Amino acid sequence: MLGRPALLCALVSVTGALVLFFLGARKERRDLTEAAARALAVTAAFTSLAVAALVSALFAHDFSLAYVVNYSSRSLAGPYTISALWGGMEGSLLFWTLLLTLFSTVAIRGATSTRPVVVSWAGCVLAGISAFFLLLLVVPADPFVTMGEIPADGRGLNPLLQSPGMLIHPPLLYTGFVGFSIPFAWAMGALLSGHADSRWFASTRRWTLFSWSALSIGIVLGGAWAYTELGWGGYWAWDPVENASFMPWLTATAYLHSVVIQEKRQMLKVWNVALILATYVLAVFGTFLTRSGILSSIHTFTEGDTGIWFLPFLAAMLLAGLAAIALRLDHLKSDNRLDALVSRESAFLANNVLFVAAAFTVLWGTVYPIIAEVVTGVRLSVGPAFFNAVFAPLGLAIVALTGIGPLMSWRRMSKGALGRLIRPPMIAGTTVTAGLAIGGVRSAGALLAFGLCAFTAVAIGGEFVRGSRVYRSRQRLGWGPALARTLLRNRRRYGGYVVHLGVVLIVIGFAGSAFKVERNAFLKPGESMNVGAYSLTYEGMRQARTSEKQINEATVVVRRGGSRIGVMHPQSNFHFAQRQPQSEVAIRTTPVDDLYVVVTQFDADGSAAIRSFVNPLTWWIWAGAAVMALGMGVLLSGGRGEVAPASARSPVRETVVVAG
Amino acid sequence: MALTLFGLVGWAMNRPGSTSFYLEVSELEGGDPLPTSEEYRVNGRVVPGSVEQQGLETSFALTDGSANVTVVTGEPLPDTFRDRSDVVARGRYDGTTFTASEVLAKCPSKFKAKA
Repeated sequence: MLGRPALLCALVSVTGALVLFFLGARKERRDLTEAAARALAVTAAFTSLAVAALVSALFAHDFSLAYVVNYSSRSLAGPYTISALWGGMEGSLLFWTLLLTLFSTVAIRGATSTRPVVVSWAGCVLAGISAFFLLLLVVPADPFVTMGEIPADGRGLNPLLQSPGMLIHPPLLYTGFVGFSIPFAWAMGALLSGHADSRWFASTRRWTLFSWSALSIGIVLGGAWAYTELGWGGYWAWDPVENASFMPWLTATAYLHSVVIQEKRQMLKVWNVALILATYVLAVFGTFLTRSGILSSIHTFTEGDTGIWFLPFLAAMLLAGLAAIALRLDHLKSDNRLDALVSRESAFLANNVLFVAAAFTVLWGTVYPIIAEVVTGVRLSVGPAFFNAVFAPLGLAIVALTGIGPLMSWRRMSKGALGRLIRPPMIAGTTVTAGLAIGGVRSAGALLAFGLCAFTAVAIGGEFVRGSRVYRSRQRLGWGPALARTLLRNRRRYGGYVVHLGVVLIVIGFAGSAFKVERNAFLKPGESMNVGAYSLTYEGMRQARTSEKQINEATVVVRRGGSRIGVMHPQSNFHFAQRQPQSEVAIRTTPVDDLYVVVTQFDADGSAAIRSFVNPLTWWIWAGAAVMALGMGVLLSGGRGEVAPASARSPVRETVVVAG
Repeated sequence: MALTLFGLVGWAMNRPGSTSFYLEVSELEGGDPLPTSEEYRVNGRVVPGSVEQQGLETSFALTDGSANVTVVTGEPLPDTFRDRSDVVARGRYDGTTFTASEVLAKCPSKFKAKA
């Protein structure tokens, strides 16, 4: 077996890399740092070998390995065998370590534009983190534990995880979590080397964007998976583990915005370092939560003692990060001050306040049960009602700001100019709200939400129109080519607006959930039920058997306004290997609403319990996510050339110095 | 700004349904009588053979090893619900029966038998 020796070799080489990076940083010797980078590459190679060993054991059904027995079976369909790699705790940590060592190697190799000593210290941090994860894999979470007796077949992968979404959701989340180690390491490297003023954030901008994009898409896919697989009609339940992925996303989103102020105005340096530290610590905190069993969650892995190992690691990261910030506080002074309350800077600041407040709220709701139990001995749980109550106002404020922010100019803005720019979005928002109110919508929250979405969508549209107008008049282009040129010539700015537009569409989808309808009924064949504007007739159950499962498929005829509009086939199956029932939801999606039908139970006489939902506007969430992904593509395709080098400061700064 | 946030969080925490007590079955049974107006989450294992279904109504016994309680619910049950599964029921307790408005089964990502 190659797996365990490969991990031991990786642990040895990463220790070498750690020592060499440290010496290279202390003595400022490039040759040592280069040797360390090679040792890190060797570590990545050994880790890849270990992953290859585990994956080939999974495909070869090598049931001498406990991991293969626990998370796969002979009947597991081909592509899902790869999901077994992250289906269990040991495998998921191995996969995490693979990403970490690969990303670290690539980032260090590509860091030619950063000061060498910053890279040495960043490498030191990355090698230290990698060493911790490899230690986990060698001691408490060894994926290569062998079985005493070799069983004929494995226990199989949880059928819930055998879905296309689960092939990409976990790797994307891990890519996001692990990717944040790179800007984190660079920030720490900048602080430790005493070059805190360096543009560490610019050289890791692509890593930050890449990780943030992966995490964003990963979270949305997780929601889509929950929606299509779990059968409760929703996509987000504020479960601790969902929260654990959402918290670093919130702080990373704040960081992505506030780092622009550091770039343009040399402000908020401490804040940015603190945000990237928070993002990384929260990402690791999430893995700690899932692996410790400390919180009750539907995602918890089998309880074990691996979670305990994360506590000192988390504490060390947090303390070292805070100490580094405190040590270099004088290097982190802002070069500029906020000039005016109505300015792009203050809009960015407000954005940060809202996102950090949101992250704090999620953290509070997630850890409150632990605090309450320690302090009062009473065990509590915090439900979705709490999170929804806080997120409605925070989310709407963020949507409003998304519209207003881009209208503001840097430094200060005249009221007249803002008034002129803000008029069309205001008219759009008011019209939508008034129109909906006249049309019979009575929920104040929904009216506000739809109005704000219209406001922001029109504000973003206005930016594109103003951008395109220049190309139209100067180069006599049509609207289409002018729009394309606007987007591609300034990808950071307009790519960001595309992402914002996606967010607006997603919020429209969230607001629609206020009008959700749920109906449950126990029906004999031929009986009907009503849900929203739909009438569902249960026609009967068809049964079939495969080697993996017993299929029980209901036929449900859908009518609307008396006319037949379709047939749906929700299933209630039974998986033999796991001895577990598994419903397959039937969803009929339109931009107006989703009809969502589940068979929750059926009797021998053919009658069935049908659970049905009408989910208005859910389609917009996935459409918005697709638009967001498009915007991320535009952002990521932007060349490095767009990042202004430190020497070429904007004229804005010079004027400030003169004025100051 | 911070005050607004704390105010918002404080208000949200005190809304009905935001937080609920999380109890084991024996904590429900023993000790001081619990206010029936409060919502609780009770954690336990499904007693094998106790599950009875009639139409949409389900009743089952929940145990934590030392005490049992009867849970009734009209809500659909999750796929992972079965004999011996580890579940959390959210609802109200009138002293004899726990009426659940939601039943969640903990879904171990794995099928490792517990020692």
